[in-house]
Amino acid sequence: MSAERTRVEAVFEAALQLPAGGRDEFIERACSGNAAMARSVRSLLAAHALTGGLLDATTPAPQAEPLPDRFGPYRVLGVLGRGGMGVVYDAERDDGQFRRRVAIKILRAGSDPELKQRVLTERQILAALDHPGIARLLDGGVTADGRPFLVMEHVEGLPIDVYSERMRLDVRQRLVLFCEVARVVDYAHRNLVVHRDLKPSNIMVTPDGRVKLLDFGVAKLLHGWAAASGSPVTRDRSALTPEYASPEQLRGDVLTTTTDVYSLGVVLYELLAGQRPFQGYEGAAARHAEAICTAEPPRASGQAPAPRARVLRGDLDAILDMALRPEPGMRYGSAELLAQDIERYLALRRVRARQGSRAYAFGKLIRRHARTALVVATVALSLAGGTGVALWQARLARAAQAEAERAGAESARITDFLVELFEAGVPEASLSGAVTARDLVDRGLRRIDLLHDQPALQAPLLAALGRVLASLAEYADAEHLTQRALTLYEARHDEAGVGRTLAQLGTVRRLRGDYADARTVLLRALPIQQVALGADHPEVASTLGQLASVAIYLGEFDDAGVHAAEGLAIHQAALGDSHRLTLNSMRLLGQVQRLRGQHEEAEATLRNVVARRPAAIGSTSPELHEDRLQLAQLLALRGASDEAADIFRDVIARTGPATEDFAVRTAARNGLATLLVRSGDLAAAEQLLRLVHNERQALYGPEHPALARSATALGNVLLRGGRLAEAETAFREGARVYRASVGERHLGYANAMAQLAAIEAQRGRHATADSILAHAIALRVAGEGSTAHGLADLLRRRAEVAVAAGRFDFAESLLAEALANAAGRSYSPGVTQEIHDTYAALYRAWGRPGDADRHAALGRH
Amino acid sequence: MTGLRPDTEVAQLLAALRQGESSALEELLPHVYEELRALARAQVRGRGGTLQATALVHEAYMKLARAGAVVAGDRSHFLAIAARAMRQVVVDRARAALSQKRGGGWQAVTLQPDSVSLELRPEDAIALDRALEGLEPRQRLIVECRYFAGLDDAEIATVLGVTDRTVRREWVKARAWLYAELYGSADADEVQA
Repeated sequence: MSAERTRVEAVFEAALQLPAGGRDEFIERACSGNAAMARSVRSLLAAHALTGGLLDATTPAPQAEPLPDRFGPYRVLGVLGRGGMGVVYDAERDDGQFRRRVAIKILRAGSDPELKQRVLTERQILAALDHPGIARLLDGGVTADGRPFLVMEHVEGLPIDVYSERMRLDVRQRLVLFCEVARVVDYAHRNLVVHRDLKPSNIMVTPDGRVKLLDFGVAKLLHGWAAASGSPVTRDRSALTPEYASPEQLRGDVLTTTTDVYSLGVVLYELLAGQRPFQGYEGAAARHAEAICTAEPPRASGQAPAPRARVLRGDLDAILDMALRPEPGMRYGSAELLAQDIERYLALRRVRARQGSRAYAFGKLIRRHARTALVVATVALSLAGGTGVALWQARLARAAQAEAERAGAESARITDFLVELFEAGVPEASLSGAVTARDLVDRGLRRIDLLHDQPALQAPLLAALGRVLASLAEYADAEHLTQRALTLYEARHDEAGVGRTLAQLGTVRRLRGDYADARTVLLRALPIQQVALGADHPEVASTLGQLASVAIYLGEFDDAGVHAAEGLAIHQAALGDSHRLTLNSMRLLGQVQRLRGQHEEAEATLRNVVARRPAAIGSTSPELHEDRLQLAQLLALRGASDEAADIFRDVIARTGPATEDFAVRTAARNGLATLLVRSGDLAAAEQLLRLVHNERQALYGPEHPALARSATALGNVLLRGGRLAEAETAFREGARVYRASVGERHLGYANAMAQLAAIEAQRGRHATADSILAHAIALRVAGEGSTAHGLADLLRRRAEVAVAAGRFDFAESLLAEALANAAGRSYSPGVTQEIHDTYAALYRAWGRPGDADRHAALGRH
Repeated sequence: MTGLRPDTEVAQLLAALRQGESSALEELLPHVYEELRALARAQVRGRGGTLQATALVHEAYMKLARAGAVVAGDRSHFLAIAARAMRQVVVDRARAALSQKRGGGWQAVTLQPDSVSLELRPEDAIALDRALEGLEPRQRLIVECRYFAGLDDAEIATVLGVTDRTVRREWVKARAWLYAELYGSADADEVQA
């Protein structure tokens, strides 16, 4: 805009504020002799007058009006109700042809010149809501004296709370009825209409027991008018129904569909517990609003009369809790999801609201091991009541402290935040033992939400909580929080934060087993970090390390090698040869070398790491154990079973029962079990693996991917011992857990299925075996396409089954496919060899010894 | 994380728009334009009368929303874009009407800038279009949103990332410029007096 134009506008605006008589003089003065400018300002003022000078219009105060006879074609019969919004008349349309009973709502909005247009626009949108559960909007407009009115379908019935009491509905019947309500609300949401004022008096139940919702979108309509016209309706709170309002509504924040989810939660709470979550604030509106915005709603089971409390405890408490979270983002994402969870409860299935509860099991284990785990000095420890949550707190505090170190100036405030969090959390925890790690995370989230005006603080805290959740194996929530942190960093154009958070997202996805997705975000993180921090920054090296790990899981050992070497070089240059992180990078490189078959290089690398590690930190650190584990795994591979076994045993002996050491001790036990199998001691191997499995179950709950791994390992030992039935049980357990935790498309699931197929094949049930493998293959292809990792082996196994069933042609085509798949991967010598072996077996069975020999020879290469 | 399905082009453009890339607005235009043109044809045919710009824009929105292309949180942004497209539709029809039979086939277009509705002749529609071009871009967007999509201050404020108050002030100025342009400054002294 030109400077001239800007000045003209400024004078015009200022002049508008003056009474008409004083404007001329002001313009002369302001334009100081610039005649053209003065002319422009005058022409704008003239044009403004032409528009009707809407800004100058004042809003007359609404007045109580006598009962009118008619509104247009509607004859008024009486008053149905009066409220903050206005008056509702009982009326009927009687134009000689048909009669129709209607409710006419005359809204108490100031006379806004734009009102008519608004009513018409909104009416059109609301009229699109065509659902038997929604009272239809029949007409709407502005009365002769300028007040908006809406004509709605007249509904016979009772408000849902009155109906439920009068019909003496039990909990189950109330839930079924409520589900119907939630589904109607969801219908409106899908049509982009938010109710904004859900409460029992708007939720009617008709005499035939169907729900009918009133006043959809009316609150929005009213709010819009009021905001535009400056009418007093929104200023006094009477238009809002605070008892059912969400925190964001009370704060005046942006409203979304989850606002209705909250109000639905309050209605359900009241239907089940007999009172609302925050009751007893009559006449104390400000305190009431504060409670809604800041306090956690008390458990419904604690409010309900005794016999019902028992029913509410547990799942229904959890469902209500999830619907009533103060942060919109933490509630059920839609009314439909809320309805589904209730239906899950009714069907006696596990409810979503409790699925964060792997943390319950975790909490139990850490309570058991907490005393030995109090090693790391952090803000939290001085506050910890001793048992229970202490270890978890240490973990959270460590994560947050790391974040704080990075955040520099923010660190003190972050520490303060955590101190407050724990102060609030610990006494309850130590008294009742009922506060779980997850509870504290949720509490932390609520508090973070209160920091919405301080994104600089919010983002790192969300990221830290995301890491904690990842360590609790709550990957979906961990990802969600990490993404929230990411959004905040993006909004602040904090590139270093964006890069770091993306890298964290990649790590979470790797842990969760989504390797391809993990790589995608890590590859996005890398250039961002390189630009923001410099290509030789240690954080860049960490991201490279993550990329290397992902590549290992994807079976792309070449890429893994490149990333690991680059990461190591950066760490060496930035931190020196003996730094903890440098040594971790070096260990990763050694692991890659082992996987690439470079056993000598791997041994040299890993021995170097082990030799340097004690200088870095104490000689019994978990990191040293991990180094030695990698070395032992390599030695086992190189045939040095005795030295490997010694290391495994030593690691087992040196690690205590603390959760800190859990991962290494478990890995050592697994390694030892492998050696025991090799030496033929199946019983000892089985015993060890069962121990691992049971410990993991206690630590992680029933559905962590680690559990699937130990179940299948156990299955393998049992299968080797010929105990088919027990092996089958183990593999089925493994498959179930894989499916529940990382999904059916994960390679682990496919492998468990393949072992089940092998069992069926051993039993001579070739058709069953074939269909299991076909299913597993289809899932892999659906997940990662025709070059999916592990596909070659599945195809080969299917070919094996085909050979046994005498389907030679089919077997041959499967093997060709398998070979093509294996060839597409850089390092699968073992798989390729097995494919050739299977070819050889096929051709021998087929009576083609020449071909068989050729493949047998190929296999030996 | 409410938002759009990331796979639609419209969604990406809206996302870019939110991040302040105004060029995204231009890129989305053709999509919405086609939609509106089709709806306009149907509306004029069906009702044999006036083209209700605001109603049409909302109809287009409902249609795209049902198809999953836009969701609730993006309503205002979408409508802002649709308003621009609607303006295009109106001026195209006006041009065509003028060139064919000097306006013989023209169906009136109503716009609702305020309480009054504007019934446009084809000449008016073209003059309005030209006058809009003379506005500063932000003011132009505000006017388009109001005239062609019936958005209120709060909704426009969301689109622009400013306060309602700013929108209101800019609207008053923009409207004055427009009226001055459309109804001629020759009248100015008369009205003033």
